[in-house]
Amino acid sequence: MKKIFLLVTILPCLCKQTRESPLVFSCSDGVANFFSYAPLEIIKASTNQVRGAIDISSRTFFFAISVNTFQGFNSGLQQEHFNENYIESDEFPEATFKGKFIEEVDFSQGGSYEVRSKGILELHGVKRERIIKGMLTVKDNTLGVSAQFTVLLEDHNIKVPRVVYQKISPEIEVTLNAILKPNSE
Amino acid sequence: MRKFISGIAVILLHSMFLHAQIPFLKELDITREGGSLRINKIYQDQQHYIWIGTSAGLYRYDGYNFQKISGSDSTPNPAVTAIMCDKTGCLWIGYEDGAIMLLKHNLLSEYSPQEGTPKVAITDFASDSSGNIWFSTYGEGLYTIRNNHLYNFNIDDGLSDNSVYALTVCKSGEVWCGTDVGLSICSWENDKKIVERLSQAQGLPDNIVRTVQSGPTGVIWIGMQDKGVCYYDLITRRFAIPSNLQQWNYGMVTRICLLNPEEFWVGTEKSGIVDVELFGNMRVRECGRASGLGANRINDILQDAEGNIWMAANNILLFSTGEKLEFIHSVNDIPLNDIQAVLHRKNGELWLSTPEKLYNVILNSDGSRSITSMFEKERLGELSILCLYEDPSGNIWMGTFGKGVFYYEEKTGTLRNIREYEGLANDNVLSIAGKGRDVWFATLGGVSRCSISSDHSYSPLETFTQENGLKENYVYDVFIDSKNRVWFGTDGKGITKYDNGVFQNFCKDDGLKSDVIYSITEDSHGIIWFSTLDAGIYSFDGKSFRNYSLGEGLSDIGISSIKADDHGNLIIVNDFGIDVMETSTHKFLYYGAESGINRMDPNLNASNKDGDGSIWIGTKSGIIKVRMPPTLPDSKPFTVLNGVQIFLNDMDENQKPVFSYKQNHVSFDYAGLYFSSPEKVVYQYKLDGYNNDWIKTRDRFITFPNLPPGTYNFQVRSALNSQFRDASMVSFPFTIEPPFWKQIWFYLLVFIVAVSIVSFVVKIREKNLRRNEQRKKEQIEFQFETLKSQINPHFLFNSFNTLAALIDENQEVAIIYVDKLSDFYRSILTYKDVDMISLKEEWHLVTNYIYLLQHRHGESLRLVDEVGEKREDLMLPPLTLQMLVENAVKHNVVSKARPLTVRIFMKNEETIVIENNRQPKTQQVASTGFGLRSISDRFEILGGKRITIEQNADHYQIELTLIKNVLHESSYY
Repeated sequence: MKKIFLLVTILPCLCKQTRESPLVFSCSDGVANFFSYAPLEIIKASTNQVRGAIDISSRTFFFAISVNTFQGFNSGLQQEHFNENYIESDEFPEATFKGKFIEEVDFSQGGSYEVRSKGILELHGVKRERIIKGMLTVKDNTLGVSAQFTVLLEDHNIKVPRVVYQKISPEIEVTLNAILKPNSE
Repeated sequence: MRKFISGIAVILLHSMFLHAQIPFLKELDITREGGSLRINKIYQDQQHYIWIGTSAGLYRYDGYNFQKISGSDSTPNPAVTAIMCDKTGCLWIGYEDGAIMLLKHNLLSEYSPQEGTPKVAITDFASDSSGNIWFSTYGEGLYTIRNNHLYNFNIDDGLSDNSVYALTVCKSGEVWCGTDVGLSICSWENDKKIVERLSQAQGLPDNIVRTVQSGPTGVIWIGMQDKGVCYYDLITRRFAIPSNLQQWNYGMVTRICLLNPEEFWVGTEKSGIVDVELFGNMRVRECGRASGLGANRINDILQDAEGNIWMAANNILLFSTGEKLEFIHSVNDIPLNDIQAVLHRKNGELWLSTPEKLYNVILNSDGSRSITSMFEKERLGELSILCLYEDPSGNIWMGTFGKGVFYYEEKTGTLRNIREYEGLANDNVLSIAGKGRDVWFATLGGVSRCSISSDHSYSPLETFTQENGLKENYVYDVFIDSKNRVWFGTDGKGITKYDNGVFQNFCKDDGLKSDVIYSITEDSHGIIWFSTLDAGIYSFDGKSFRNYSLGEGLSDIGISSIKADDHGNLIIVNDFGIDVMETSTHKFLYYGAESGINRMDPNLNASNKDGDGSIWIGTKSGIIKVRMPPTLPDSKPFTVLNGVQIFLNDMDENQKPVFSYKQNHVSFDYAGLYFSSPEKVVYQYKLDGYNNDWIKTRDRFITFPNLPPGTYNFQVRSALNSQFRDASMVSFPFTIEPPFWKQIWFYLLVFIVAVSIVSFVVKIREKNLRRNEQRKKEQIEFQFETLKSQINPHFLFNSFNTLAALIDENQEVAIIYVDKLSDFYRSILTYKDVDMISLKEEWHLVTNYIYLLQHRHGESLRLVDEVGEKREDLMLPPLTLQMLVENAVKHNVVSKARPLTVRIFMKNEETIVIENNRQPKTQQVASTGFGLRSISDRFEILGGKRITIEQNADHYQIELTLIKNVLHESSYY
């Protein structure tokens, strides 16, 4: 009887142990903002349709943004310019960042980790290798990602006419926040 | 390069493994507290400062003091593991915990790019040909900064391994890194990372590459874990191990320091330093703890701009002026003291004479030395041998003091003595020289010559003295030059040349400053050099003499011998050290206490040049071997300004050098960086704008107290032995501003204020004068008017009528009436010149007046006195109240039916009111209005207020504000 009791109490634990912990986390509702602080105008826009996936076994990740989903421009005309003249979202609909974390992160331990990721940032059809610093938060079987970085328009061949130099910063600040959940097999 | 490799192959078999005769090492104490620091890195920046990266932060050394860079130990793990100065003069400091600090203009800041910094140790820095910074890490590969972005090279990019030990930049600009899995060569090609790998498959002897060093000859030197040192030829693209390093028993290589194209030092983990010569002897020498290194683990080696070598022997910082000097103080515990003559024989034997012994020191093949005392049986050593010469056949000639010359024929072992009676000029032989078959002897009684025949016998001696052409019989040195001319240094008659049977003498008459010549030599350009007793050295190019003394760079004039080496240098030996002069540039170097030379008191001409071109010098305590590198290192101190202080507080480096007049106590902390012999550095400074002369000093700190305001330029330069001609100089222009009260704007302000004050005063005075004038005028008018009204015939007529009636009625009253009348008129006269009178006086006057009036009007005129006390301190212009009462009577009906009541009362402390009921006469009396206006003006001028008049249908009221008697009359004048 005693043995059975022991078995009953241990069994669930064993089951939990044997159940494979998830290897891939993903999301499709991450939030990305960008800010352009130019002397004459501040432009802010954001999207909540950031898709992303992290494979913790290989420490690799992938994030993608449909650039035409950015909202919140100062005017409709500005949004139109953004999509048609600068980012050319018809031709280059996606901005992506894929790569690998430089630091080893113990995903089994809850907590926040500062990690640097090295990868390829593709924007406006131009690929640039970047190291981006961010925070990874492991909590309740989810992965929180937040990062802040700048994008130089020149790096991605985004040409700004001289006339609007005072209105568009050559350095765009980008923030990214996403909560990734384990993929259900 | 091929030639170089074949050269190695040829001499390969001759390499010897020796125990080192270690160069002088000096241990430098970094921490005064005596704590123990692990020394990881030694680096010299463009300003020549030595930077030392330790387990507890960064230190800077200027030859005098170690200064800890405050804040350099503020990271969680303060161990500095990498140091580099970039092209802009910014110092990059890498830490064991991955942090990077930047030091620029003495300001320390953290390097924190957007990309973040590594979490693992920074192992090395490099700056590529474009000036881009690279740094390697132990665990995250390699990073580089390019176009403001930080990029990473790691295994994913093709790097051999993420743990990189060391970096070097090759001639074509690629970055080489050593890892546990071989070499990686990294570069950019049009924004694309290029990584090439080299490992055992390509011929690398050992995959674990601990250190890499780009050499000047187009090779990369590689230090490995087990296989020692190899190199990669960038042209043939092949690896090779130098022939003399095929067998490596010294363990892991930590550092390779290329001293010159022929020699490098290898730092190892367990065997100290391994000194490798690539040409010549192909020597490989090990200097470990046993050789005085203090520790076997060498973390870093640096050769500075002066050619000095710095070593980090785990926790000991060692300094050496390099291999230029080698010391032999004793051999097999026999001290080599008071050496009188030195001879380095062609067979490698070193013959040394002391006052008691003649020694032969032999270098054994195992690196040890053995020593034998020569001619013990003959007791030759006791004869005090003063000079030694080996002729081309290998026979030894020995000159003694008092016992002539001994000739030793080594083949047969015969020893012969040549004395004065055999034709030798004198038995005291100071110098022997020879060339070919000729041998010359310099003695205290002239010079002698003989020639050696092929059977080693010598010809009869030929002697020259003062009798047959020699100027002076006391000859200190004899030297035969490349043109077979024989030179004699004499005591008191200058230098004598013997050329083809003709003596020619040069002495003071020919421009020499000293006639006592001690030592003669010839440089590789055929120029004769000689030293004098007290006038330094001279060069003679066949035509003229040129003198070099203290002013030209000699450190001391007590010169005992002078020898030319094979690299165009003169080795000049004095009592305290050795001067080395590069004859092509006349540049001087000095080696003294810092190099391990203590007062050595060498004997005259106790020096000899060996077949390698090294100079051996015999001293009071041992032998010094001098071997200069092919090119002389920097011989100039590098002047740096360590700091500027205001009232002994460090000035903020970012502050503009403009000080206030109070910050006029300025100090400068400077140094001439010259690590070879800091004690020989002297300084000259001047402060333009204060003192225009250069002031010479040995201090490294100067304070200018109480500098007057002005523009200054502090300049300081440093030099060795006062050679300030091309000295390196630093300057610090600054300004001390005058105090605000000496500045132009203040002068202007003061001027403006003064002008406005003066004009204000003038204006006030003018106004006062005008007012006084006005008052005077009014007073006169008033007096006139008053008199006019009072002597008004109507008033008099009325008064006299009243008086006539009174005389009838009551004579006594009439008398009183006349009294009052006269009293009234007297008052008018009394007060006509007075500005003010008191209320009491005025009241008296008014009551007289009323009395006069009442006698005429009787009950029809009533005066109601509600004033109370008639105060004496309240003042008013005289006759004011009288005139107001008169006005009331003048303008109103006064009759029994309509009596006129004049009521006078104090409204408050100072205000008096005269009120009467209003019953204007039907026929208005002509009025000028002068009376009231005049009263009002006078009240105002006298400082009071204007009078106020109130009237309605029934009443007429005048308010006077009386003047308190605080103003003295004189204040108006």
